[in-house]
Amino acid sequence: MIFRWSRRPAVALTALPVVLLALVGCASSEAAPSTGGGASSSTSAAGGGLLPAAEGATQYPLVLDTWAGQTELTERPERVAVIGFSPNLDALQALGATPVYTMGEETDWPWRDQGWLASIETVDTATREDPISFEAIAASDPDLIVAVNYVADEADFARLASIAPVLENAEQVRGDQISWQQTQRMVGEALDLSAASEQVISDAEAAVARTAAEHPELAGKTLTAATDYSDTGIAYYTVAGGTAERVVTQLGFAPNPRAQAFVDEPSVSDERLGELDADVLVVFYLDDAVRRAREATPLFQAVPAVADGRYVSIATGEPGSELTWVMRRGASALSLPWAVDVLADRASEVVTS
Amino acid sequence: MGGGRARRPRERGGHVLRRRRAGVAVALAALALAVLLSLAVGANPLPLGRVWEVLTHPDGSEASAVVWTERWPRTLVGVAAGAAFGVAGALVQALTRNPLADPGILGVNAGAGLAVTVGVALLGSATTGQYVWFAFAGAAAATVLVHLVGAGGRAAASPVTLVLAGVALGAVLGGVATFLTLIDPEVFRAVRSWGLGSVARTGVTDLVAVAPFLLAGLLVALALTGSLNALALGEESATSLGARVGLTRVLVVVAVTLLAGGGTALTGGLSFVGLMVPHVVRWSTGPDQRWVVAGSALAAPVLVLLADVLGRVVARPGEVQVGVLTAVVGAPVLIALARRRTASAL
Repeated sequence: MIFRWSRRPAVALTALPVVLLALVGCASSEAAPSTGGGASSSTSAAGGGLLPAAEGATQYPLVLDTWAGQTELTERPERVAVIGFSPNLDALQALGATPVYTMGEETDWPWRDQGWLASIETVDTATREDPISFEAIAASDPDLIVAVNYVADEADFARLASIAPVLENAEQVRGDQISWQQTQRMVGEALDLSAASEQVISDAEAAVARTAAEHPELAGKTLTAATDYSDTGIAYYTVAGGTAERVVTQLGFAPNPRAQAFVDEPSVSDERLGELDADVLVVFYLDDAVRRAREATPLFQAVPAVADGRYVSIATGEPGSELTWVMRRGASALSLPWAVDVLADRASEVVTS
Repeated sequence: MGGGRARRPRERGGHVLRRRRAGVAVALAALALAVLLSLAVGANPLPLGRVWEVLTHPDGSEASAVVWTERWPRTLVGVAAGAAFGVAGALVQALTRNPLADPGILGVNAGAGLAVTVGVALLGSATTGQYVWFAFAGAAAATVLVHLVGAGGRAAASPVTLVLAGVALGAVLGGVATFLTLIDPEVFRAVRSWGLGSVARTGVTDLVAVAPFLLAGLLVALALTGSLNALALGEESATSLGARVGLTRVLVVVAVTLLAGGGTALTGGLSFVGLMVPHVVRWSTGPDQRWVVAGSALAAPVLVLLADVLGRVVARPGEVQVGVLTAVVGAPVLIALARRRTASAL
């Protein structure tokens, strides 16, 4: 069943799910201590100091236009629920804004402030791999749901919108074309923290530019980043015009002319591995076994970047392997400064050796 | 087996034999053509002349590597796994006397899938070489279990209890495997795609390792065909003809385990092949199991190779796994034949 909360529910009604959720939270945190537990009821008064002070730039009521429908923020939100990929949560952490609900994360990201994460009222045990926990979101009594790049269809949007206003893109954006700056600005505007968001963006871009300046040896070189999913083959990440390509060009790399071929269909056939070629080739692997299998094939060995040793390989669990996710869907003001440092160091090793 | 050679009545005459010989010739020609297509067509647009060049004179070039290290292994795996599933399907349909049975009904796929999942869970990851043995062990264990449950203490299971036990256990094993993969989707990502069925995953080394099991299964299958013909007349008639019903059933389960288990280990399972190919073959050869088994061994690889070739070209520059396409390629053929002819009885 679905709880549908009116905007001003009776006290008794709100108390019940909170108590229930606390009980569930205790139970689930015992069951899964490694994931940081389920719900942890914080003692902070609702809305008390969860967000930095308003800037007064955003005019409420604010209409949130999305591709799936329209909702309206009547006043500045205080209790924010955030769902979707890590950049959505990053956008709040970057602003120093604490949500009341977030999905669990399957990875401890190096750029995540764990203390801040622990202060969130409800960190769900469900991750992005699971269905949206509408009931848990409703129980956290949000007045805004940040769901940028995450709502699957109109039905999900309607269920979310029945809980609270929903922040989503005006047009559906393909996953590898997302602009992290746009996500940050949308969150900033909704929370009346636009100036802070601009600052966060320019700080991140400055950090990337600093890293680029420290690595002149990478300037003008081409780079391909791809992930070997073993059975489903190799996926090309740095497609022309995509998020990953924008990241590496900000780092000083030149766009790879071969990247145009993968815009519509980013998979690389085993027979055409030569198309991966670039001055620097970065391949992410699901695990070491997949890497060994791939590196044993003559066609992979024949890729010029591999043959000449201009090849970086990172398998899941190795230091810096979170880079895969940043290139895939995880780019944000927080993750990028970390990721470009890792990428520049690894690329630099093979370019200068 | 048991000396029971149930000869079909003679009035069928020479034209049937002629048609069967023609059918075998057509199947062989189709198989040769499918093998050539599989070597010639792929994501890398090599000219036909160049393919022929490197086939006859391997030269270490990129074209040579494409043909010999990418297309040749998957062609061999396609032929071996195709034949295995086709023959296993013919055996299961004959044993259960159910034209809708496929090797999966004995729990082969579910057992293999669960074993691979558990293997990955234990090792954290696995190479394709390890997958093969997990899958094979799982398939064998599942069919033995299904047979024991179906037999319920008797020497051999009756077809009906065998199917019931297979479906029930298959559901349980599949459920457990799904449960495991949901616990940690990232770790089991590879397992999920493994179940889709692919001929591009396994190398020649693994194929050579599994080949003896496939050959043994094929020989047992061919040896059983006479007894299966007798069984088609019903248990009592079969017994009076000298066929040993219980032994035949046990040996069929052994052969299906070897064939479908080996085929699943190599590919992850190509379920529709074992269901459809024996039907099409029966329409052409009639119900004589000797011809159905031989025909399925020739015709099934054709379906698998054609589906795989299609999978290489429909989503360029990527590929679609053959397991996704066998049904797409095969179903229209099955539907067309079903509309044109009376159903293939068993």
